[in-house]
Amino acid sequence: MTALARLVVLATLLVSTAFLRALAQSPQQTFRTGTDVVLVDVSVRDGGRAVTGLRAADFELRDNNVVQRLESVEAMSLPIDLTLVADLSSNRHGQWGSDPLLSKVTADIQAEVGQVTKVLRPNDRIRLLAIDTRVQQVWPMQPVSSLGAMPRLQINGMAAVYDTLGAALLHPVDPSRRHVVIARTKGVDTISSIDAEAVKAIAERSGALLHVVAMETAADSEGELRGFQCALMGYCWPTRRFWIPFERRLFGNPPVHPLLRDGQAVALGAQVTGGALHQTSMLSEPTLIGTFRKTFEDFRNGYVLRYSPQGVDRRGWHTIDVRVPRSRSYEVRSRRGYLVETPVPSPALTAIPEVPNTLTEFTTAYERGAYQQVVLGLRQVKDAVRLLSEFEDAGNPWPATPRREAAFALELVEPALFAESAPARQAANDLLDRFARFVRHPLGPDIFERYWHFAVLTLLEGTVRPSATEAFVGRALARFPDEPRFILSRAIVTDQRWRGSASLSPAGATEMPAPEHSEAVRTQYEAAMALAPTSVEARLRYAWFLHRVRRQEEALKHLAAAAAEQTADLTQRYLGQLFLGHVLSALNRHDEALTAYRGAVTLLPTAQSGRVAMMNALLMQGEQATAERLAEEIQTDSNAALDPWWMYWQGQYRVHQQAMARLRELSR
Amino acid sequence: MSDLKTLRAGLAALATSLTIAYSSAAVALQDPQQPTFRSGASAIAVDVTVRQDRRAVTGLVASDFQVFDNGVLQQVDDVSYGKLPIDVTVALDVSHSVSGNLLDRLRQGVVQLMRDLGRNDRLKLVLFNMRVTRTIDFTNDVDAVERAIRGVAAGGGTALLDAVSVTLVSASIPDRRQLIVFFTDGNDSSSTTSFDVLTGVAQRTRATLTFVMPGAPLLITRSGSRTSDVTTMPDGSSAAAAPAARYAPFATLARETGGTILPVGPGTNLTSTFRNILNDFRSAYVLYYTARGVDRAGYHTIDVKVNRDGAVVEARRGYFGS
Repeated sequence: MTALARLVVLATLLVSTAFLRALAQSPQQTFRTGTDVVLVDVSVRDGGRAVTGLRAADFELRDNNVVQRLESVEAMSLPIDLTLVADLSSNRHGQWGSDPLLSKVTADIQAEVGQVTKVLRPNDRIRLLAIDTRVQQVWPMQPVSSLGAMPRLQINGMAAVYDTLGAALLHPVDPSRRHVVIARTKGVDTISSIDAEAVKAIAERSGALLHVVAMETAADSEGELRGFQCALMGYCWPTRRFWIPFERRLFGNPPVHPLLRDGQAVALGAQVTGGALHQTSMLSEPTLIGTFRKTFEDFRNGYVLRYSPQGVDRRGWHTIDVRVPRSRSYEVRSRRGYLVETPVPSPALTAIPEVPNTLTEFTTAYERGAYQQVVLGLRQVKDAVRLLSEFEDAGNPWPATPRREAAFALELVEPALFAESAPARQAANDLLDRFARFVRHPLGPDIFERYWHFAVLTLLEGTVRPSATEAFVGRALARFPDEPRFILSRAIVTDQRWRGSASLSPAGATEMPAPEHSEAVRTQYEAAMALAPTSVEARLRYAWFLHRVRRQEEALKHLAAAAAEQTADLTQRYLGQLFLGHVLSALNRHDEALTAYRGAVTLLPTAQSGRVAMMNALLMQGEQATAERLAEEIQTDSNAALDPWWMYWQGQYRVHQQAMARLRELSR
Repeated sequence: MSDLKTLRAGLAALATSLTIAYSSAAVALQDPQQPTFRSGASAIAVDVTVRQDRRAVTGLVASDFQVFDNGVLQQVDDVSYGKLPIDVTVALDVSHSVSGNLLDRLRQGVVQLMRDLGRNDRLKLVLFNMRVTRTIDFTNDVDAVERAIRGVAAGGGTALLDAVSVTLVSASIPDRRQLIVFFTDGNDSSSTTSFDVLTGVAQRTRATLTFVMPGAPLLITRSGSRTSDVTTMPDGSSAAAAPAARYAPFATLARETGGTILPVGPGTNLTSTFRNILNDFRSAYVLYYTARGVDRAGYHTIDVKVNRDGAVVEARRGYFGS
């Protein structure tokens, strides 16, 4: 027998700002100022039959063991928002297999959804999430009547079970509706960014009712699957699962499938919402449809108990115990409790040093938006490893905003990434590696994650350590395969692998790169050239590569194409002219080279590289006096601009501060 | 790439500075002033050092020399020894890789070099990392130079080849001999000038270029190649040598101007090193001849011989005629 409970603690149990907004805008708010109002969904059954007609006097409700006065008891008539979760993972035949199998999976799920929609009422709504390598929202929440054909599913083989459950529970719900989550899963997680304990914590704070339906028999091939994933996909880390694999027995005791620690956490999370984790019984497994039908029946016949907690501390965990004293045979099901968060006290305001030095000072300055001071202080950090270690030990300074921590971490790693010490750089890479998983939104790649990766790549390109950067480029492209800046980053990092010698300057270009390197550079830059936002920069950089490998005519074509695009980016225009001069000079077209250098100097009159190149060209042309005068200007110009050429090999590091500024905005 | 650590501080601001709209005013560079290149006219002056058993040979006269210009024997019109005043340009690499105790030794060496200069000689100080800055123009003021070096804050990348090019072009004052001494580790991260171009610049200017380079292999200074991974310093100490290929272009460049490349180790007395460089330069003859029987334009090879058995002659390899 299944029971249903529902609870809403207005103004305190809210777990997302979207939810807050939804509540604030709702015309049916029922809380009173200064007092929390608690609504508890309760189902009462007697021998499998719903008990109806109960009134307030029939119930006894205890909050933290203190009997509460019920202000009202109403029959459950609210519409529901149903989130169905289907597990597509562990299917080796998806992305690499045949379309017919994918079609079958799609058809099976659509058939199940069809059965569910027959039960739902016109004012109920439904959405469908799918567990896969990432969270897939197949259908957003919508009325049953508006459901169309099922979009094409993606089956990539991994299982983001916890991420998907978290995303399901975090759906913002109007208080005038009830949210029910019914998730069917094989219980094997391979790639989530959150863990089972986090799902439990979210459930404790969620107003949703969670039922988890186990697909234990479908997970029988787990060992084989893991071997496949490790060998072909490189995902070799241990998977996390709910239970020890099911053992079928035709005779003897019932099957053994004890819950492991993660399974217990998920089960507790479901129970605390009033739901359950439904496992295999004897030789049959629970089904999505069956579980939903029971849940829905309880909903239709349930009660909503309303009370204002009295005689208990407002903060912390509240256990709820609901009974119908007059009949011991009734089975009463409700939510087990709810949590009222204790706000973290605000620290007393302290002055921010001009140059922050300790983690506390950096945190305080960052929190107050003193970003320039943070940047200034970080550039003077002596022990970058210690700073990162303290940061990891201290935990998130802003527990409610994990993305802010991820943005802050990116600030803190910069001194370590540029350090001489290999352990320092490794510590920074490890931290970034960890946060690369944390920044993933449960519902899929979003703008914050995109900018976070961009800021990481601009920073790492600046270190000119391509071997360390490549892994992060691959990770960013895995999440955002079409992002032009990431595609350009891949080309830049490959380009950085060959500079001719230890020197960054063309002076060192004495030996030629391997043919496969040249081919990789070509294909990767061409991919970036094909995209409007990166076309000009990719052409300039590829032209410079061609110049270094003595393919001047080809370089010239790309420079001409870049110039034809007429970018407004001063740096790119300057480098275009400078490179053009060098290429023409290599072709012994010295007059034209001099004209190109003049063009560069016109764009940035005090940039050293253009002036030096022009000075050299003038001398070669016999204009010695003019060259000497220019040499004098170069040495004595105290107001000379920073030169774009000096940053050329640092790739997109020139826009790192802009990327960080945007990231800070997005993280708040 | 270590210099990137401190380079980044300056570069980080670049992104902001580059967003500022620059004016499109071009520098005025069209002055038609005639060049004053000493060897560009028909009268050529060549610095020549003659050594025997590592000691300078003195007392030579015009008839002791044979000068071949593009293979054609020339008439030596005059020989000067120790008469022309000397301009020394000292260029110090103050990038991230040159700092601390080394910088202090450099200061002492340069100060002593100034004290060793003659009454009419002068010294100019150029400091460079990614930016080339003339800190002190030609002067006799020892204190000013010492203060300038004391105030050095090392950091940033290195535009070594750009710095060499700028100092070569600048060392053009007529009737004064020009010596340029570069102290650098040979790392270049930020130049726009290539060695090919720099060689062309060296052939069109007249200064003698000498590099003082920590870690440079000794043998490369004489033969252009090396046979050992360990460098023996002039003071007898040893140091692990960096790959010879890194230094070979500098050796070639120095020889093109009649100069050399000197390795220094952790224990090298830089004061002695600078003093030796000055003494070698000071002991050079200046041969004057008028090029005859050769085309004036284009590159001219110079080959100088002396009628002393066992004497070693060092001179610039050639010049560009206009």
